[in-house]
Amino acid sequence: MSEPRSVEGRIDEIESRVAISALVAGYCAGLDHRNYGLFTGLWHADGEYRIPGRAEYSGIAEIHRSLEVIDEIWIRNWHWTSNHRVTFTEPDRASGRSDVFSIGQERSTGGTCLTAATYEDEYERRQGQWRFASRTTIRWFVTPAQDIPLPPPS
Amino acid sequence: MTERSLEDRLDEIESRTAISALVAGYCQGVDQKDSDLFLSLWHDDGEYLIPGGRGNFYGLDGIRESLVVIGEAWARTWHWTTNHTVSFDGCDRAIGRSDVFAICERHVDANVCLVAATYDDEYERRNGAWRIGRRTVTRWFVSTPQDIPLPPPS
Repeated sequence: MSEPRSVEGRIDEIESRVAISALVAGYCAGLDHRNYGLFTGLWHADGEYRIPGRAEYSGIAEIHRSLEVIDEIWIRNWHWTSNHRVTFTEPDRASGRSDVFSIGQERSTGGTCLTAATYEDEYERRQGQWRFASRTTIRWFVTPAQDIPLPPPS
Repeated sequence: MTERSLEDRLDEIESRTAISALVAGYCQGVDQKDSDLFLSLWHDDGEYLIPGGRGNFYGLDGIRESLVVIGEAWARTWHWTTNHTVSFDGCDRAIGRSDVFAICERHVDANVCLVAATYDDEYERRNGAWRIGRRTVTRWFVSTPQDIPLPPPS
């Protein structure tokens, strides 16, 4: 039977969960608002961002480029992440899974696409900072452009 | 007012994490048709109640049957849960409420329905493991079928 975990260790894990949740939320804010500093700051310097079937980005410069590619495809995006679960493999390493629904306005048509995906993440804490070691986006569907206008509220 | 011990406060936070994982795992279990994961979320005598014609399912055998019923109703589903709140009744029992948005694809014509529902849950910890004692699904709407294709991304 394993040793009881220390109070310090348990609180540290809870605080780590909070920090990791902020990464998952920050990804949406960074992408949707084209906040390159926020977005790239979520990854470690050698972080990886994989979108199977589309591209793989390694390191901060390429992850910065990934957001430029997204901006070339989409005029605007909105992402909502849900169903986030985190499992710790050691105090400084964890994996996570979450589901995302998003709405994007396509640059080529101006139409509105609905998408669904799952994020499979690896998180690491280095020098006291939790960041993505990798994020893999499993895309389930991207609808053809729909004629759903997205005007600002009147 | 009785001071709660640090141990009890920590235990409750850790319990919230475990309960959140149940709510997230439910979506993964249904959407990925992962029956082992889905069944692991419930106690042996768990109850899964879906008023309005879908059925009430009792015990793990009944809950296993619910996956068959859902599989017959929809070809594919995606569920996103949000607004999860949990209230404790003692240290081993809690109730929770969450809202879900889902996109469900029909077998017959691959048209999709948009669905909104609320989950009212009862959770119990037995032998150290939090699981669902009862989940009641209140469905607010199931849209008329929409001709929105959900192709895998190109």
